[in-house]
Amino acid sequence: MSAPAVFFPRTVAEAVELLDAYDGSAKLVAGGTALTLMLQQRLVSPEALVSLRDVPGLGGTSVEGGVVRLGALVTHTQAARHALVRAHLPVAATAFSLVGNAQVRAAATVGGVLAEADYASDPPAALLALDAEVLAVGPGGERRMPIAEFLVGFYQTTLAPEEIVTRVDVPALPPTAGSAYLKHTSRSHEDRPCVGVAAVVRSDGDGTCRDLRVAVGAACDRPLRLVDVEAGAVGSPLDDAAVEAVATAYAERVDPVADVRGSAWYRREMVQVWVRRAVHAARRAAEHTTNDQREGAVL
Amino acid sequence: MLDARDRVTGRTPFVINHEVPGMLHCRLVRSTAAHAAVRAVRTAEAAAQRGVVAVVTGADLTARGDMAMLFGPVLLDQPVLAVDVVRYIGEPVAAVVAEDPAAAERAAALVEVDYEHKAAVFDADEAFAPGAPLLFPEAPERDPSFADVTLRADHERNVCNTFTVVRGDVEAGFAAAELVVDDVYESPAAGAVPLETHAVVADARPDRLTVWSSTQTPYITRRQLALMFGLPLNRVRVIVPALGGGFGAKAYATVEPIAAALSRVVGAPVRLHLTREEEFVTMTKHAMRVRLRTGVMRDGRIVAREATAIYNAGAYAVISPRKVMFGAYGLNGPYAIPNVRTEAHAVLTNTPPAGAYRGFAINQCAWAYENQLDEIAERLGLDPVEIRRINLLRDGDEFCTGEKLHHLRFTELLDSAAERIGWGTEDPVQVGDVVRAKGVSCVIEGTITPSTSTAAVRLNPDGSVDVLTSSVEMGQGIRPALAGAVARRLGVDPELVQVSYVDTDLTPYDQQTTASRSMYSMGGATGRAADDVLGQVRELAADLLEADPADVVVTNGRAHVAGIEGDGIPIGDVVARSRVGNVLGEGTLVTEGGLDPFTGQGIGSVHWHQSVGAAEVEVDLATGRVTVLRYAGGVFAGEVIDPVGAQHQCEGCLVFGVGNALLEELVFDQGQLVNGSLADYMVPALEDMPASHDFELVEDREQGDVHGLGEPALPPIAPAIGNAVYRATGVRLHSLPISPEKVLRGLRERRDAARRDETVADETVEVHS
Ligand SMILES: Cc1cc2nc3c(=O)[nH]c(=O)nc-3n(C[C@H](O)[C@H](O)[C@H](O)COP(=O)(O)OP(=O)(O)OC[C@H]3O[C@@H](n4cnc5c(N)ncnc54)[C@H](O)[C@@H]3O)c2cc1C
Repeated sequence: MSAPAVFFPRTVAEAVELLDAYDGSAKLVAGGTALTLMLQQRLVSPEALVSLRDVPGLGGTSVEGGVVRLGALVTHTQAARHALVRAHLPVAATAFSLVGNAQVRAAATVGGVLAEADYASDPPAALLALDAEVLAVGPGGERRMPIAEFLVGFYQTTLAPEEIVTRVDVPALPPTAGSAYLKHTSRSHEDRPCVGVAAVVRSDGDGTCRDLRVAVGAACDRPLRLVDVEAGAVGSPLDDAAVEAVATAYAERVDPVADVRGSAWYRREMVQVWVRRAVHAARRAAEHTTNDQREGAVL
Repeated sequence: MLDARDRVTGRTPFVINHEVPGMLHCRLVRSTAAHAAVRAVRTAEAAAQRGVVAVVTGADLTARGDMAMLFGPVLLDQPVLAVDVVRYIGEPVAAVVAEDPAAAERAAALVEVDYEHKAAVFDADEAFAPGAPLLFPEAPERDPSFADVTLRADHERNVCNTFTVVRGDVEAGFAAAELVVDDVYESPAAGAVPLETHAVVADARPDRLTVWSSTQTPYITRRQLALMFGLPLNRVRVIVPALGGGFGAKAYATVEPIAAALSRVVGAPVRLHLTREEEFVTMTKHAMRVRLRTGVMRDGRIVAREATAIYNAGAYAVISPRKVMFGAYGLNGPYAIPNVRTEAHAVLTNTPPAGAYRGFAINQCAWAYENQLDEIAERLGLDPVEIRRINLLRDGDEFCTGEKLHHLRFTELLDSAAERIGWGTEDPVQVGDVVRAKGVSCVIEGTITPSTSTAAVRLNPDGSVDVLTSSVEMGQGIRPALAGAVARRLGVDPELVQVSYVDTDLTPYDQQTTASRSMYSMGGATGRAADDVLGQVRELAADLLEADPADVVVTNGRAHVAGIEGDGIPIGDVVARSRVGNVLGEGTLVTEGGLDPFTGQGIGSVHWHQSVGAAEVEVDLATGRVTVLRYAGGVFAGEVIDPVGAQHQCEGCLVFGVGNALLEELVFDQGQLVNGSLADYMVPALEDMPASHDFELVEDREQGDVHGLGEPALPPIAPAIGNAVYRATGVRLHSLPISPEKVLRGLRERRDAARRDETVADETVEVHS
């Protein structure tokens, strides 16, 4: 074990080349917040570190055809504060704003949090509820995959060692949708989540649910969405009983982890509580947007 | 303020920044076995690495025959590096000395150790039980000093000391009691988590040893090293710059003997700076379990208390033999109890050594007796504040040690804290899933007695003043506080006063910087030294003023004949004009006392710290999560020397208290620490702190006693929070920390029990109909 070589490539292609040349024994560095800890605790011992610092074009946020594009090097702070994210993806803005503490958010990146695939994370659940797609570039060119296919298990993604996440594309929420991300910490407020829930609700004027999306983070190996449960709620009013049924379904079907933040029993309980609270909050937000629009219409 | 600019601009000196020419770097190889015979340590591959100077084992050190292999403040039980046996996971087994830290680290990973595992024991109750694996088949020798600690060790039961307090007739007390409650309470092991981990640079020469260390006990460390190497005290020089926090974890030697021994082996200065992970297994707060029986009368008076506490000392005694004294009298609490038998045992286990920790043994006691007192109040239908008022010690009462206590302000402190938290208003209050409630607690704590501090104060011809002290600045602000106090005594501008860091070659003896003793003991010694300076100045000024020394006084930094202020001479000018170079004053403060270890009678503390707390919490009934909303504390300070520093000390206690109450626990699995990093071990962040807090510092200037404030605010915090959680939820947790999961389980158990009661009631009805 000797000190790894450090590279600062100037293009994505150059970075990919380096990763390819090291054949799995090099590590990318984005914000470095996760990697530094892994190095310190000797969980990884790469032969080379490839920094994305000097690669231009990965740090932008824009909107194109109703899709918000988040560059891989956009930091959590930037994502949480960016006007486009706040306007079109408020649930993601909230999730990024609740990560760890200000120091971590200032360095940690959108690409880093996805590539790390730590189950105890906030942003992935929000991005899953938003049907985000991950763009990655490798020796064979660019590919794009839904986040549900990208995240496959504990610290596992479908990314190849020589591939680089360059961007995340997130469809903007319709203005009538309400959304919420709620984070439950069981220890310090600055801890990673014990459970985090992202919810998106869109209803008709009469209260009939038109769209429900619920993603539960940090409770199991990767963020959990139950599309059949979501679909089951569509078409009828999302009243308290309906919300409770959704919460119960998630609590029953989650396969909870046990760790320092809570036992499997506690996690299941928390899934029930926080799915209920998140869907309620999203419903309230949806009511507000609907009301706002009505008021807008009157004016 | 002395210090502030240096701190903000990063110029405060710390050992971790200290470099010596030719300095080598050390990395330790630590035991992966909890209890094992060391069969072989294979070092050849590590030694062959580039940059490696030496790989050293305990056997290598023993073979040299030029140093003692065992050290410890009370018992000589800790090997510098393991010899033949390891007793906890994390114990230093071998050391690599190399030209740079990376080389040392790489080589350390290549050292292989063969262990032959022995039966290990981790829980202190199990280690105390007959037939448990023994950590020391033979009793270790004593260190010849620390004579004030009488040992009642029982190494057949892994006990490194026991202390008992007996007062009145406890059996008769229980016989008379109208209600007896009997509970077990537990506190877990915790880490002090100083920002700066232990660090040392040692430079051993054949006849001389210099050590730059982050220790809270420079003079004890000097003595230990002198003993180890057979050197006279004045051939060992311990230099202590500022510490990045200590909190007790740096109270006794840990890394210093290792670095000193290695320096002797390689003949060059050696630096050792622990990683965060190593810090967690170097010194811990004692886990403690206590069975507490209390007898009360229906009117709320406590008439009997019997308690047996077992402190988990970890693998080596360190200061546990003294800690049991604090633990035994601490269990009495600040109450007038006529019949008492409290006992504390320190029991060795195969876990990292437990040492000093802010609140020295008292936190664990207070957690137990203050929870239980609320339980008793409820059973008797009394208000928690009221039951405390009934029992709190008052002036002239005798403590369980037989000492008659004076200047007691408990009731006033409690009433004030209760008022500030809004006690008596509606409680608990529920809105949706969230319920709010308040809790109170009261604590008595002693300071180390007997104890000794000495100091020198030097007046220079320009009127500037040097204070030479061996009190350690560890962020508690002792340097600015001493500067202010000496400046006031001499009547000079505080800006003119410098306070030394510690250098045992230059700064006079001080026992240690622990037990919140420095402002009292060192403050007293420096005050006397300043008075000595004033006395000498008066003599010198008498010559200059052609007056009788008896007629010369010093006011506002000028010496003059009493009654004729205009003719005064600034005290610096007195030095200059009388050509004495400087005026050197000395001061010593020695306190007397001590308790009998079989009865606990005698003088336990030169004065007693009085402290109360009141907390308001919010509990989310759906998740069990507790938020501390507000905290009102109160401490008897005697005299506040540095008002800002005093508040800072109380606020620091609040951070520790909230951490202990809600978050902190070292979790072990078969002796392996499982949360030994700052990603896994939680200390409070700013958002975990109550949104508002205030500490009242009660003074009694006529009495003239300064009380230290480093610790007293801490012990009431966790029980006040525990009591508030109980009032909010009906869940009384007997073990810390108060985690959301434990609270939720408690709530579920209560709900299930209520349902069972309903079912039973329904069935009863059916039977009758
Ligand atoms: C104190 C602390 C508290 C935290 N609290 C939270 C929390 O509350 N909630 C939460 O969600 N997270 C939390 N985190 C985790 C934090 O969000 C992640 O560490 C961070 O998102 C990782 O981003 P990074 O840019 O720093 O990644 P890096 O550390 O640079 O990299 C992480 C991993 O991803 C790889 N990688 C990085 N970028 C790319 C890319 N573009 N393409 C391919 N691979 C890449 C790296 O090679 C590495 O393996 C916390 C972390 C810390 C240190």
